[in-house]
Amino acid sequence: MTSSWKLDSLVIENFRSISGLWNIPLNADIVLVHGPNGAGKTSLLSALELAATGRIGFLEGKSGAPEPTLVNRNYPLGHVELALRSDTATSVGRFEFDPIARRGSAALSDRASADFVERCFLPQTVLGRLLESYSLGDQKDSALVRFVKDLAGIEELDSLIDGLHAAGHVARTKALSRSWSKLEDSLQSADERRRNLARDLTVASAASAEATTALQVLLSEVVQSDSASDQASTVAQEVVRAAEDAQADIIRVGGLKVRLDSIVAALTASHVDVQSGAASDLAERAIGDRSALERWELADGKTLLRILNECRKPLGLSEVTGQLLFDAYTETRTRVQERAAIEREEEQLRLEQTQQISAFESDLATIRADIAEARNAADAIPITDDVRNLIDALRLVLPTVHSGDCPVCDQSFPAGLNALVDHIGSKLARLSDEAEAYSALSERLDHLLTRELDATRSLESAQSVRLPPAHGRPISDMVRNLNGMEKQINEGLALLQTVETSQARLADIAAVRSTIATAEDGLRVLMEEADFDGEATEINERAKEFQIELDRMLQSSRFRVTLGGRVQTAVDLVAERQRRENELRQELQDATTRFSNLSSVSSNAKRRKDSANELRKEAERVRSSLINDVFDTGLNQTWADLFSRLVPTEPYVPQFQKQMNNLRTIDVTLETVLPDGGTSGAPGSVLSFGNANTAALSLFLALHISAPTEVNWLIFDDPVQSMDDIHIANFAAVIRQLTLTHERQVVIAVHQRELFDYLAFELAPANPSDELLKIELERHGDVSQVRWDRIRYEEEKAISSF
Amino acid sequence: METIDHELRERANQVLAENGFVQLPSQFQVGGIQFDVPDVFLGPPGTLSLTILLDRPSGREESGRVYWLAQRLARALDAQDSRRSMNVVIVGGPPEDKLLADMQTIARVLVLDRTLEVKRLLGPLLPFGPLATMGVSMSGLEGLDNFVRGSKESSGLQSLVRAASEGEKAVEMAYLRWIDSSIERSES
Repeated sequence: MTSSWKLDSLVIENFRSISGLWNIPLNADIVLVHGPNGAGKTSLLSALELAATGRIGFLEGKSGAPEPTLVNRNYPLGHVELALRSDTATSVGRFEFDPIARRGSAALSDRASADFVERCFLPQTVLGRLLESYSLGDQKDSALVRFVKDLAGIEELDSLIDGLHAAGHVARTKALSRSWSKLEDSLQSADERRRNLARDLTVASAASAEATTALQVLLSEVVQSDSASDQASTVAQEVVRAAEDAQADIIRVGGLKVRLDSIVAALTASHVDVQSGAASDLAERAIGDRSALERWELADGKTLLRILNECRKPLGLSEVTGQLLFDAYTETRTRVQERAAIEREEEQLRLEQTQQISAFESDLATIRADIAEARNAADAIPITDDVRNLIDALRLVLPTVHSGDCPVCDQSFPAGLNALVDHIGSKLARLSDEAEAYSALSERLDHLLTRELDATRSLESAQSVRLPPAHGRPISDMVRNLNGMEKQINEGLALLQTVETSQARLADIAAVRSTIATAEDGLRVLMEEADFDGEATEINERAKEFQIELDRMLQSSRFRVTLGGRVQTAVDLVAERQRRENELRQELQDATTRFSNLSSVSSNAKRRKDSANELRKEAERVRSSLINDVFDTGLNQTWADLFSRLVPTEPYVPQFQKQMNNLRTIDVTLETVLPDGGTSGAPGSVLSFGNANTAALSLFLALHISAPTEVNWLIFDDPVQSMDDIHIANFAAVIRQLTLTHERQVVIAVHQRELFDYLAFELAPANPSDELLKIELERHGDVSQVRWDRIRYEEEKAISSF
Repeated sequence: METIDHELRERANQVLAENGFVQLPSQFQVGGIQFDVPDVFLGPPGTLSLTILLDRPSGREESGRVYWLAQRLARALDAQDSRRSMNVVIVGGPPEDKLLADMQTIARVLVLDRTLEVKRLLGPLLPFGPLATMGVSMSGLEGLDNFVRGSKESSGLQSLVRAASEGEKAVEMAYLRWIDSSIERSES
């Protein structure tokens, strides 16, 4: 904190009721200001307040901006300037103002300004309501509460208590701390997992035991005895191995059975033919059939072959021998039928061509007759050749007219196409009366000439088509010859098919015999492979006997495989459940460890929270204790001391009630205390009006003096208005003590001349270093004036001993 | 009949002496005028006062004698242009109203009786002693020192107390950091 400031001087120009420029010294221990009402006392103190703090307290509560009231009404501009000094520095506060705005800076810091307003300056209007403003019960941010907090260092305690609010309850801390909230979630999750795993492990252990029992029961059925659990594994392995062998047996025996089935099927298919005598009959009949075919080939077959080759030659087919007779016959018939169809189609085309040419020739003759007739008629029309040629030329021009431009002379006819056509038409009419008749004949002749040209072209086209010539020998002869061969061909073909059937059956019998021999060898090999002798001798019986044995072997193997599968399944189930049990046991151990770790972390965090909460409670206790100290040993004692100096005979002394709780608010309640220690009502209700004001004044002094401040000034505006004379004298004594023992700089403004003189006398310098300033204000009309007198120490020699 | 409370008067003498008042001989002069007053005091250094102790007058004649003594003394001081203020302490209770009113026009009058302590009744004259809390600002946090030092979590609590000087939010943040650090360190 800066060392204490001292008032040095105040410049006032055109401020409120003060007109003109005042430069007032304030560098004295006591400054007394006197002036009648309206002379500018309050304006002078307001100027001091404005320059010191930048504000004027009593104007702030009023409606409207204060600026219009700052400058004297007779002047457009004004300013105030306050000079301060300390042991080591100076400070100047200066404000310029007009009716609209003020500009400048204050001499005091914000904190010092607050001290000035709350504990240094007692305006006339504040004294009467000072007690009331200090006794409003719970207060949070009043000047008194701020004072108490400052004095006791409560602000930091409050910060600590408020900052540790969350420590009062786990839920509040969790709400703020994401880590803790996450930790609690993790802890809960770990606990649930631990419980779930324990439950799952119980179930898994039971399931594992159940599977083990089931395996032992199954093995006991296999080996027909109780297997100890340590032997169960060995027995199970043997059973499983036996099942694997049985599986191989099934494959092997299955293969034997398939092969046996094949042998049995072959035997079943060939058994009757081989055993009967039909085989030898069939051989003899085959020989006879062959002989009949050879006889037919030498007789009919030879003749037919010759005739057939004759037919094939004109058709462009090659000559064949006897072996291909039947196929060649079929081929030849097909080719002949195709040739006959082609010839019938060519004949039809030739007939149609002849008829077409005849028709075109007839049309051409008619057209030519019509042309001769038309020429004769045209020649008979009586016009000259030149005119006729011109008419012909104009008629040829007409179709080329497409616009109003003449294609002959390039002359343009403005009226357009129709006008030009009409013009040529009228020209033709004027050339000859016979022009129309000639023109019609000429058109007909052109038409006939065109038709003649078309008919000539059609005739030439029809005549140009070249059709193959007619065959010399009609194809029908061949058809007849081939049809005549058909019966004999069919007879030969039947003989051939009979021979082929007999030979095929003979081949089949040979094959069956071979099959049976092979089957007998195969069966013997199979029985040797199966190590089976059998008792039957006949091959079919032996095969059946062997088949039964193979079925028995298969059934036995399948049983062993099924049993092995059941045992393997039971073994797998035991292994699976034991694995699961072990997994769960390990997981449970891990989960228990994690839960334990998290619990430890949580306990540590809770221990810190509890410690913080204890700190908070201790801070509240200290806070309460400090506040009581401030009120009891601080404010109350100082207040009582000051009050007693002002009204020593008053038995009721005001004080603040003791703080009875640890609430966060400061309970400000006033009471009075009697000499015997008993308490009574509030000062306002117990004391006289004058003493109540004195109580307020002494409280103001107590607040000022009880706490350090860099503003060691006491400024009063008519502080003794309601005091009686003796209280005024006591007030003066207190002021002298404050300046003497506490180095306060005091400014007192009064309006009574006598009081002013009395205070000047009472507060006159008593030490060589003391000074007193008497400032007197006067007003004459609108003009205010100021003068001052500095009173210095004078040695006192009036009293002496004898 | 004069009623003199010697004990009260002795007590007043004692209090004044204890507070730096200098007793003058009973016979003294002011500007050459002689006075004979048993208990008269000059104010302590730095003050300008003349204090006399008078017994409560019991009758009219006595009242007049007391008044004229005070009047004479005041005039003598005025005649010397003395700046000393005069204090009259009446021992034994308040005098009659007229005398009190007359006396108050020329001096500060204090009345001693047995209703209140002498020191209190003489209070307006006495210099200030050291006032409670005067010039000393307490620090609330210092009151927590013993508690913090005695805690097993001393280090952490000290960090919270230190944060208090930076405000409520700083404390809350320090608290959360302290809590979180125990969790995060353990988890890591």
